[in-house]
Amino acid sequence: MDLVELAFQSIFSENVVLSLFLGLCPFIAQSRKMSTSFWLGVSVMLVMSITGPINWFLTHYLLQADALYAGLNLYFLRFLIFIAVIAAVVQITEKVILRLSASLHSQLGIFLPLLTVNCAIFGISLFAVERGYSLLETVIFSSFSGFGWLLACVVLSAIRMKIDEDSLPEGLSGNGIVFIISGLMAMAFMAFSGVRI
Amino acid sequence: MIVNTIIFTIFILFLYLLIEIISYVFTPERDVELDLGDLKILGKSGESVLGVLLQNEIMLPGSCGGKGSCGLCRCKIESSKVVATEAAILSKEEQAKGVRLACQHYLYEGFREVQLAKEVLNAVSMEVEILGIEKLCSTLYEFSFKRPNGFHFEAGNYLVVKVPSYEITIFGKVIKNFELLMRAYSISSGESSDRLKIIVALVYDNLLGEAIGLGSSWLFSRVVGDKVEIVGPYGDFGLQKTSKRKCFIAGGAGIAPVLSILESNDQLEAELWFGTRRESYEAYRGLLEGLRGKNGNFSYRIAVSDDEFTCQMVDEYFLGEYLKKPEDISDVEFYLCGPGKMIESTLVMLDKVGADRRSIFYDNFG
Repeated sequence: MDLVELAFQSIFSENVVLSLFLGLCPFIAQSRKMSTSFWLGVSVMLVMSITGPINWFLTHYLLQADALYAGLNLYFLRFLIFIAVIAAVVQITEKVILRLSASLHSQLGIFLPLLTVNCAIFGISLFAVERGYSLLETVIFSSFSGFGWLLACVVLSAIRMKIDEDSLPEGLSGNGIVFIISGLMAMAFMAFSGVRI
Repeated sequence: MIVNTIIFTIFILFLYLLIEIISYVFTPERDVELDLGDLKILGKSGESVLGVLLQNEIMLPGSCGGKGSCGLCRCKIESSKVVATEAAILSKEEQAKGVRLACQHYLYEGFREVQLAKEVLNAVSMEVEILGIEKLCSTLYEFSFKRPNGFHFEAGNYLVVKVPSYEITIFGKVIKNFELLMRAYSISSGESSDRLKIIVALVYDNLLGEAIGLGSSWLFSRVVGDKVEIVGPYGDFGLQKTSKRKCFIAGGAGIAPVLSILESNDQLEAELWFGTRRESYEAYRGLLEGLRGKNGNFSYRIAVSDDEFTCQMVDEYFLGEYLKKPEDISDVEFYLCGPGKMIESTLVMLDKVGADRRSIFYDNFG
């Protein structure tokens, strides 16, 4: 598959949160403020683009049938291994960021640990393997999916900031209207599926 | 099957080792110097500010064990950002001034200074003997400690009781505590009294019919002659030196600082609105009657929150009486002490009747 097309698809027409509906909880809960959603999005993108390729490597050189030695198939262990890898990468990323920039760490600090259980990150690792992507495709797919998540979250928070100033019917205010907006956003992103590059 | 297990275990161990190595390389423990203004202390990076202060015997108060829920370990850390647990406890003004909770901030290289209130540096830890335990009612005890020499406090201050790990039986049920706990109690005796008194309400679950408070259960199982370790005094709640009329609004064990203030100023013109529950009504009324006997300028009214007839909270009671007979409250100072919920609703109520925010002082019992 053309790599540019894959990147475009990962950001827009098959956006991880708006068309695959993965990682919805932080998407809804952390999009009240623009700065929060931006830094959370950056963390998601960072962790996603690291874990995707690592998990691809592990699948191909450890888990797949006959990968380690003939007759051994550990493919059924992929869920456990992927989650362990994600948890470890989150820990390591946190330590590295703390060393490099304490101020960035205090900004990302509360979001990073939450990413361990973010289903979008796990989902992307899994899709990359199940769809049979090559390594290069996996790198493109996971990093641009992360960017797609970041984009969707920032856009939603921008819309929510506008909406906070409006008066809404009681039953709709709060999370009610956020779900409706997310639905409309999903439709808007879906419109990109007609675009050919 | 065994091969799978071995490979999986090796893999997880490998990840664990990797994390350990990386954290050793990237965030090694380093000495961090903490600047407290007059003195400097040393801590290790990664430790909480509260932990380092306590190790150096600087007795910052606290009663939740560093969970960020009691809000007592306040200090000023100007270079830091407000974390989520603090946002719920510190007011907007406090956050802007740099007030933080010491238990929620950790040392890192380049951490600079922490500003502490003067009283914190003066607070000392000491062992006192229990001279008397008066049972006010089944869930309310008044403890009298021997006042240590040179222990100065102002009426309205509180002290912290250190509760060690223990295993006791109370009401036929075994309660265990595995760690050192700190519990804050307001001093209820007068400034010149030779005893330090605190009022302890047993934290009790009415549905289960069991005592559930780890601090109060321990204190309830003490007997006269036992030694208790206390730290203090702390607090900035106290009587203002103005000529305005004093009006106290208190709930439950929040009566303690009011008792101390009234005992220290024995001819103070003051009124007290007090909210309590039926079971401890008689006990509190006895205490207040005693005060009124000594001080002719003092008057009190009691609202009972779970009485079948008058069932009302103290702020509703005050508001009801005020609406019946509105009076000028521009020269009244309000002192609120009691549980957080009571303080909140009383502040709202005082806003309604038009009290000046600057003449409202409160002590939140959490």
